[in-house]
Amino acid sequence: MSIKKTNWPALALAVAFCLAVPAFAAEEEEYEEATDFTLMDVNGEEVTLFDLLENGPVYMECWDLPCVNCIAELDALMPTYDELKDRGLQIIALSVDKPADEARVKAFVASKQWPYITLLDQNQEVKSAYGIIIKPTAYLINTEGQIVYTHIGYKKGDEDRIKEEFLKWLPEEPVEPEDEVEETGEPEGE
Amino acid sequence: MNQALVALALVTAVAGAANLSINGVNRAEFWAYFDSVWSTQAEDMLDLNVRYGDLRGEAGLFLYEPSKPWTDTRKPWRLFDYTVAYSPKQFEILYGKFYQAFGKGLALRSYKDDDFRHYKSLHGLRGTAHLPFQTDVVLLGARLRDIFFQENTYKLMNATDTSDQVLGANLQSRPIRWFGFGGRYVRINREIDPEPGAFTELYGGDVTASIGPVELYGELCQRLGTQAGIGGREKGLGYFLSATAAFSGYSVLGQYMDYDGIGFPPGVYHYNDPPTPIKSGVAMNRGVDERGFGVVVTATPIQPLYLEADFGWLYTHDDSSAGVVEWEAKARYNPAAEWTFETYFNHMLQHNVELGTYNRVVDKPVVHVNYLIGQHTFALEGEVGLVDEQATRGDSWNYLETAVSASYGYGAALLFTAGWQYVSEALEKRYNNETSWPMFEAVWSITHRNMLRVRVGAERGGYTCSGGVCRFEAPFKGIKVQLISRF
Repeated sequence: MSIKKTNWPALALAVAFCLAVPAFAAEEEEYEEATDFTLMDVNGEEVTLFDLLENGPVYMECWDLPCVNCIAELDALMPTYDELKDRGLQIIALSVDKPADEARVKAFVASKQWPYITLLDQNQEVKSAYGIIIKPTAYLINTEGQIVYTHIGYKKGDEDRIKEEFLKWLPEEPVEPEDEVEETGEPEGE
Repeated sequence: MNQALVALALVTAVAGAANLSINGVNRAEFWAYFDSVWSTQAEDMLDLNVRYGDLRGEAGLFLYEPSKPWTDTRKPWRLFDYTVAYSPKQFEILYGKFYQAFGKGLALRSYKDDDFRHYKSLHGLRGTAHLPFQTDVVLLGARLRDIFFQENTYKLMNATDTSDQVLGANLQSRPIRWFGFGGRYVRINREIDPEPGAFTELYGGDVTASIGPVELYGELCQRLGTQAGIGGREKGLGYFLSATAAFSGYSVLGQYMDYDGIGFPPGVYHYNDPPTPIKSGVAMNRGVDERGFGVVVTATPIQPLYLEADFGWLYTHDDSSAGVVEWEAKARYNPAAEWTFETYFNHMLQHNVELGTYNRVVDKPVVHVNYLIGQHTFALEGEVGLVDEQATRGDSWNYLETAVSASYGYGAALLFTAGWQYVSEALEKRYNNETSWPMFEAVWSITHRNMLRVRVGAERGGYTCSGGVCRFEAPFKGIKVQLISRF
């Protein structure tokens, strides 16, 4: 659909300004709601975001094979993940590679031995739902389903700052795995 | 359109209502550059997402405002797109703009590539059903819009075919963990087809089998079309095979493909984009007449060390008229949290790929070093391309293409980069007789949702590809300012 008879340059600048100003001003008070989604992981299993959030906060980074900085960030976060996973931290590596590169992605992830949940967003619907236009872009989503931190781009050293954000949203103590619930709905041992 | 904007404003105004969420991203850019005369262009891309329970909507505004003089290929773009969808857990009904690929792209592939500025979207109706046993069924009826950025302007690649109709159906199922299958049908009714019975069909299927660490994939696609003018059926057939063996820390991937007449239509745009084995994304003709194979071996023998070797070969069926061969070896080493070393060597042979170039061979070693100390990060990168080029008319050149860059980052917010590109031969066709392109860039993460990038200087440009689509980027001299905002 095309549009005519409007001062579009002025409108575009006005829209961009009006939308950017609240982002500058309000980011500390308001958290955006995360969008739930279900995608296949590299092992062929379906993973749903809101199911993961029941176990702890999720740091979701959008990456693809040509993105050197994306891969560098995911590599750099491995020690932090090892340290904080018992406190509930979960990391999603959201691959937005095209369908033709699915086998390359699986081979790459297997050789890298990333401990993360690698999801395949081949039609880029999750990328679009989260407004991601440059890579890497990553979001920290708390257990309430709110996006509490956004990280755009990566340079060496950012992993320390990202870790500080993780620590704000993780419990002090390691999270105990929940007891299995029998059909009666009562935990074992009670 | 004005009504749509009023509606959008109303939605925004009541955004405080419970269960209604609105988010979006805006990319604003301004370029001023010299290209025989000084020119400017402003660009804004705004994407809004609205969600209310199972209802969701997207609105997109794209504005491209180049300075005058305007031509048929360089003129303002003002586009408004929307998507409305009802998406409970079991199904989705969508109307508006969307992107969709069937299988690996042999039958249908529409996509959005922000890095390459290629927006190949479908506009129409799509229904998706999520069935038991990890089965998805997609039905769609839409029209294609293929927007591509090249030569500093946006072009509508299917400008003469915007009313062509695409109908498609796809089934993808993975009923058990070690076995999956899919089937698809695409029908394209073109305005230029003279008879009601003249249309193009692409149909086929795929099979996936996972046996322990080994995964096998095969996809077949047949095209049935109509010969333009004379009538009668024309046929095409293509297949893509891949095998992966992945163990903890090691993997081997092999791919083989043969496409004979499935790329459609055989012009500057395609409804489908079959895979290419070439890592750089080069394809010969995107499924019209290609066959090739690729092998990738990756390893992490010890955690700080990553190794990769790539080989890709893609030629036309007669093995001589056009082809590309690429191999690359890479090593990346993180001896400590503060240091990263990366080096790779890339060899690329292109035979009759670029117009006017018979052969072009580039051998390129690259070194990249990253160092962190406290709040300060330093990066150095250098590459030297040894180029051996022969033009179609017989001229030949041997020259160097070099590039070096140094970056300094302070804290979370600032990154500065100074770079220099150089060629040892002043070539009119490729580089407008220029040989040196210095550049300076500053990136400021104003907040964690807003990023400002300013680049001043010159860029060499050159032939670049992504996903089988290639373009020639003209050299650039000027300033680029980009502001990305999330809200």
